[in-house]
Amino acid sequence: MEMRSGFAILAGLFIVAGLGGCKLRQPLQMKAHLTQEITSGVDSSPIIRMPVAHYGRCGTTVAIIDVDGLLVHENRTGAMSYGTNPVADFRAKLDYARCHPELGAIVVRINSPGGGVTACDVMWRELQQFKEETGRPVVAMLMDVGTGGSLYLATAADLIVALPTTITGGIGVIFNVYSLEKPLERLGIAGIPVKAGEKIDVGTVLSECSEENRELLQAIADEYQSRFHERLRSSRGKELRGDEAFLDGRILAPSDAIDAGLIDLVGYLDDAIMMAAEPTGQRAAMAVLLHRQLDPADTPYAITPSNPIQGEILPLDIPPLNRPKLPMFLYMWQPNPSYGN
Amino acid sequence: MNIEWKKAVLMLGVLLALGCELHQPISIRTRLTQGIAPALDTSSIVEMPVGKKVHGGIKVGIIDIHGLMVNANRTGPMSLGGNPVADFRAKLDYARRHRDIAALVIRVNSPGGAVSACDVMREDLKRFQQDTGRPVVVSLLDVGTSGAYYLATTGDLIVAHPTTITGGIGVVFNQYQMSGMAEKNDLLCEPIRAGKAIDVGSPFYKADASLLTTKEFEQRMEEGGQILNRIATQFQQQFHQRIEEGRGIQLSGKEEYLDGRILTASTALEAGLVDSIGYLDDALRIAASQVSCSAAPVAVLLHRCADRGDTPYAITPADPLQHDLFPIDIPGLSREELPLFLYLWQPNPTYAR
Repeated sequence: MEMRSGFAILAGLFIVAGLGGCKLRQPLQMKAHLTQEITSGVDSSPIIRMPVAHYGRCGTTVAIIDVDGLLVHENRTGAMSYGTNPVADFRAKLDYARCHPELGAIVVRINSPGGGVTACDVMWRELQQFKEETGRPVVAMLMDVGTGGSLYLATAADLIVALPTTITGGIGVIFNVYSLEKPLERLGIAGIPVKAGEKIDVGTVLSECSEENRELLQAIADEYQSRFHERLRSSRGKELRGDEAFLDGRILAPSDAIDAGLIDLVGYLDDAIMMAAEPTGQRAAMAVLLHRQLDPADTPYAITPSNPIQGEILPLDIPPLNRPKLPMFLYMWQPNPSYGN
Repeated sequence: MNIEWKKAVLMLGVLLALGCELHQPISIRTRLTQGIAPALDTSSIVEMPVGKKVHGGIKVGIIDIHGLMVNANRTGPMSLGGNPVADFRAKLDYARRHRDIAALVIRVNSPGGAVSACDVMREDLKRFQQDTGRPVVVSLLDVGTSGAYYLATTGDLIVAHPTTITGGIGVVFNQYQMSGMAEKNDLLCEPIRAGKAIDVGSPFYKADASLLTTKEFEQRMEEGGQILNRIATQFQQQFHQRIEEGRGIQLSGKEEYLDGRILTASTALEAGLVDSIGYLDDALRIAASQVSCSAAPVAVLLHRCADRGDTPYAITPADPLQHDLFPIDIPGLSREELPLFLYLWQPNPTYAR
């Protein structure tokens, strides 16, 4: 009652003041004061969402999660970059989506040749679990490249969409073996490790890989390869078609990938967003990009993990010397051995 | 209750008697504190009038496409960089929101770029045309070859400068064979593979030749070549389709222009690949005339506010600086920075850096 009478007084005041010719000499002003501070703890860059596309007034909000570049379980730090771990970023974004049920569907936007076998498998499992727990539709959108481990990740989605120009396929495993024995010898360097356990340094660059050691590594690679095939069969089993020549690691253009059953259809990112919203029974109203606050993002194509620049400052890449930065066994189409740098 | 009403009436009476005047504005202050530095995306798209000052003219937006078209952030010291694909989308979205921009001129100076980047940009422009119905004129400056021409084909009209280089209808995949270099340095490189074609296109694709008989080796090289050729051919066919559907012409009988060669503006005009020859101002006028026949156009350049743009020729995407600091480019070694299949006229394999 107290409240209501208060309101009545105010309302009456305004009405009568208006009738009485009450004049405001100045327009009503609202001042917003924005203060921003920079903190030193750069790891506190939380995941936020940024509206990047609008399709209608009401309907489902679709979240875009981008997966770019080499998929490794490693911090990619460097000068002028906060760097991030692709695996950890992916998990953080999925967790954000999990906590926000209003994000009705997910589009995983992929542009990657693949990466370490474990990183790819972990990301696959994270996506699979997210889908099982939340039951929300997940569409994988392959951009320029979606080969090797990134295709492996995409198999966890309900639907795989590729651009008319996406390179996909690359179903295989590679382990780069180099021998620096002779170049080092020329410099007067000889590696003479003390070993207990003869095979403890299998894959070393200090000496040539023996036939026996090659077989050992080959057996591991074959096991990972059959795991990849298994994933494809279990998640896309019904769709896999053709004489399966595509299982030899080759890359494919989208029309061949559709024939093989590796992808579902050809379209663009906006189409993938629409398709993701479809199972929710509503049209997509808006797409938001999930990204770390420190990374710039204002379009659905924004590439949010910032990459370190030191890789570009040193213009020379000598593949064997770069290898320590890479995981050893890769689910990756590898057109260039120094790709990972 | 009664007392409250009495109070109200009394106060109103006082107010009326005084002739109610507020001498100071009401100000509301909100204080928002964020612990994190603002992201660089605060460089939003703005429009800058760049032409002659005309009152009451039709507003024509200029969007510039400059340099290699790739879907990658071109960041570096002293540059906000920017992803050419994302920038283009942001500018188109800006034009969508601002209905007073009655027509667009896409100012192109690019040798092309990655197949996907070019295709995505073309599709975004096409959907803009379909959704808004506004005229889009493409003006080709110095170079408008391959992927840049691919983008242009969706425009309502293509206007080329008298000295434009265009054409370049083809696909390129840069492949280097570096096993000779490895051999010269006694470097052994024999990757373990499951899936024998997993490193198709690698400079060390043939590296373990020593492990294969000659016949097997030849077969492997041939298979590798076939896989890549098959993809390049499909992308080339798609290019031809896009030209035919975009420009409404038949390419059969025009094979001489389709082998990837570059063309001068006059040859391109003869071949029907461009519509007219003229300068940027002509393109602006043509764009305005599609909306209304009388008014002169007011040109506005759409650009990120962090980049400078005050003439119709301003190049707004800032390029990173560090590439110029290191003059050494060894094509085979810098390849990993590039996407691999390119709609690109490539007079220099290190063009992209």
